[in-house]
Amino acid sequence: MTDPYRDAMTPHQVSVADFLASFGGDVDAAIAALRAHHPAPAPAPIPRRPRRERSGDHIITVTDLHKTYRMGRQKVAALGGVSLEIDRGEFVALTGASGSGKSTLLQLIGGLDKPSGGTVMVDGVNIGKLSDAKLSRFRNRTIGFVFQFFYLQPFLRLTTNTEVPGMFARTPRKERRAHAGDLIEAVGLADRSKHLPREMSGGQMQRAAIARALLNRPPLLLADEPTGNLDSATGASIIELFERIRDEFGTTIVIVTHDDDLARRADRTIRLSDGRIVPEGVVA
Amino acid sequence: MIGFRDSITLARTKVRSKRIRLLVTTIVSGLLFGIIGGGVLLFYGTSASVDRFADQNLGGRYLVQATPVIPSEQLYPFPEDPKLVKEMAAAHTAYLAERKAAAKKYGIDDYDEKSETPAVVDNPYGDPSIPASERKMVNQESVVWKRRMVEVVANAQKNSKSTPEAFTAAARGAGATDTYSPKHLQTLGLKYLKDGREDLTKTADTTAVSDGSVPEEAMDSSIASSSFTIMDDDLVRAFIAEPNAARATPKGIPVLVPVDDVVTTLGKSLDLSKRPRDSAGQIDWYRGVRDKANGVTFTACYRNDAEHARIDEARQQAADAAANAKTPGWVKPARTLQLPKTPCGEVTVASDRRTEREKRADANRAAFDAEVSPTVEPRAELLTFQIVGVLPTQQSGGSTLDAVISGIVGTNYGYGSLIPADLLAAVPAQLRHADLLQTPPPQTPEQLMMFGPMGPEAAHIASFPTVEGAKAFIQSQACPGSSSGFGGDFYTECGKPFSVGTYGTSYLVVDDIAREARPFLIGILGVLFGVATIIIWAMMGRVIADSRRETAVFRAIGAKRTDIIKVYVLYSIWVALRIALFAGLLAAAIVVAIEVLFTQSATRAAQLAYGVFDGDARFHFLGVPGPVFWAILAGILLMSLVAITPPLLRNIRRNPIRDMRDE
Repeated sequence: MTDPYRDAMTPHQVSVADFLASFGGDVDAAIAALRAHHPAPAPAPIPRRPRRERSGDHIITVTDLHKTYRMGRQKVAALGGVSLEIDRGEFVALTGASGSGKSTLLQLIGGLDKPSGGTVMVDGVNIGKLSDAKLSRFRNRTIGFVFQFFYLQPFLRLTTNTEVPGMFARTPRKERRAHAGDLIEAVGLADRSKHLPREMSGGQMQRAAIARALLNRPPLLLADEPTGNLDSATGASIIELFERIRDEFGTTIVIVTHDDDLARRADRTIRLSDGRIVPEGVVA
Repeated sequence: MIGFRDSITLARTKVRSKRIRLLVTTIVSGLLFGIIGGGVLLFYGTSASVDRFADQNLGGRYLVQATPVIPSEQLYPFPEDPKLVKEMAAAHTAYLAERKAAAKKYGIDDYDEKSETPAVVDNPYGDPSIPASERKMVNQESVVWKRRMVEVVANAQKNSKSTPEAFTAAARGAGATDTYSPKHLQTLGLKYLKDGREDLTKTADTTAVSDGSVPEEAMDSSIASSSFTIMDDDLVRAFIAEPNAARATPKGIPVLVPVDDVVTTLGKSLDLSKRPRDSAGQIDWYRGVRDKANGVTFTACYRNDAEHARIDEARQQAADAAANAKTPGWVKPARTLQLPKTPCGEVTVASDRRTEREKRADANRAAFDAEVSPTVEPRAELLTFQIVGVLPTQQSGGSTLDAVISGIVGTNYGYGSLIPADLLAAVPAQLRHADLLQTPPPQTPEQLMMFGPMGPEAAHIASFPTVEGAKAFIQSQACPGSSSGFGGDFYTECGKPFSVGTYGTSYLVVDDIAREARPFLIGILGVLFGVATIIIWAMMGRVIADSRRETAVFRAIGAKRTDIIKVYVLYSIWVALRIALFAGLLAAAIVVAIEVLFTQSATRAAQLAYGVFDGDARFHFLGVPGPVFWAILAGILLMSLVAITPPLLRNIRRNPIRDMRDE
């Protein structure tokens, strides 16, 4: 648990040790003094975002999508006939209980897995029909991925980490470095561009992962539990960042989340239960 | 596909992960490969150094010696063979009849056939189940047996494929430029005269060496044992001292004596110290011995069997006279002999009171004996030898580096003292004893039985212009599985007419060591290679296997399978190069350390062994890396690539989602 008072000490130029020393080493007295001078900020409520009108220009069209896994001799249906459309520039949250199939749906949309049935059209391409190499190229150019555990390269500095998708796209080094710098600035990490992941906080790492996902200017950003590993305040700031990205770059964003508060910030929430979409208005 | 520079960037991140594991792997496998590489560098260096010294010593000629091989069963029949026993018994009967007839012819009335050595005797070691009357064996002291041996040896000689001519033809056919046949003088039975003196009254000093055997007390010096061989100057020129005292003032037969033999036999009179232990001291010691011995003379005495018999008779007469000096009625022999009063002098007749009849009877007895063995005139001759140089000899025993190196690069002139033929021809005739040295006396049956038809250590030498030519000839002549005999000649029987080996210097010693040690080295190197392989294999395999999530993330953000293969192959090469670099540097460091520590003493040991003192050749252990060394380094690279292949192929085929989820 973070203590906002203890956290509040950090930005000051006085070190904790010096501060404590001025109270004779009494931690409680020091915190009480801080409390008196810095009232605890109340957690900001996450406002529900006003719905945007759908454009009808579908970037994602999923039709009767099935996915069955084998578990030993048993077959388990992760998705059972999902159909949906997501418009270009839309910010969609996929929600549902654990095992509802939301992550599976995201992975199928991202071409990371093959469906057992049905089709996935992304940006006008039936990704089920692409060869492995073409699918890789398609992912590289069209889709940006953000993961719950960030998955940054531990020994690359932030700028180089952000450049990795550009390496696979063979984007000229100068161009991609400049773009990476812009994105790092856009996600608020300009002062961390030379840092290694281990020198950054969880929120900063996720911002870095978002910057990396955006490097090749993909029209679609897929995020699997992007706030699942962050505290609520940081999670809220990440969602704000997604909104800004959508607004500034027109990027379509699909996130998988357990958090209903965060999901409310999306333009639309698609709820899944037992591998099917729960119609709006129905309580799952 | 991902660019090379970017692949390197990503591969480097792998190198920075699992640092401890990578460091341990690099050190351990690099250490193992370093040891292997060091051994290989050492091999190349030593080999090149041996070649260099051999080249300086022999002027780019590589010598091969060949010893005739005559299957022993041709010379030494089984003495218990019933058929042979029967044959010898019949021959003995005929021999007795022959002797009786001769006795009658020469009027030897007191001839008793029982005085003849029997040709067949009881066999004390025979099979007890055979009746005693049939348990017989051939007596090798009998006249008929000796006669038979002469016949057998003559036949073997006649039918031999091991003649000098056969050797010359084979060697020339294989590219030899010259062939030589050293002439051994051991059958002369020379006797070294210590301090030039001879005392025939002492029993110990009368040891006859006419049968080629070496008196026990003379075993440690070729001077004392009078082991001399006439050798072509070409083969020994490096050891002839310059300026040479013998050339300026010849005083005898020129001879090159092994340095240790000079010290053993002449050390006291020349005030020579013993061989020092360290190689630096040995060079000075060798030079000192060479300088002091240059021009020094010693003498040896030649006596033929007839003269030896006269000495025995004279000595016996003297002994009888002394024993019977006070015996009443004792009568001195009618003819008395006088032992020589000068060194190697002849026995003289002191008094001869024989009547004409007695003289005739003695003459008849001599003629009767001559029927069995030809009569030769007694002969005694004093030979003076003059030392013209000293031969290096291998340091025996010890475990010091000098001894080891001396053992490796040691020389093999193997015939005791050597007489350079051209120098011999240049000395005045009265000193040369040409009739004795150039034409050694016929071999006796005893010598033939001991040395075989080709004489003692009969050998031929061929000179090849290249080491490869010499090696090919040795291999073509050698029995399968035998070494080239860098330590000297050897005897093998596999149907080949000669046993062959290097001569002079051990220019093939490194090859020989490598061949001899190959099974052992292959085993050791195999184990080292195997352990290093397992370590690299395990580490690389594990690193790649642990990279499943990373591979999955790369795949998710758009990497093609070929991109991932490229990154990991570069990683593998990177790691392999680190190990190879470490191993290479370690190998070089090991050999450089050996070079720094031992090159001086090794050079001195090699100079001693090869007799190369004035050239600038140095014995280096560090050689130019050859193909085997590079193959080892390439092997590390190949192994790393092979190690990553299975896990890498597994990784890129896996569902990235599963890998991300698993981790």
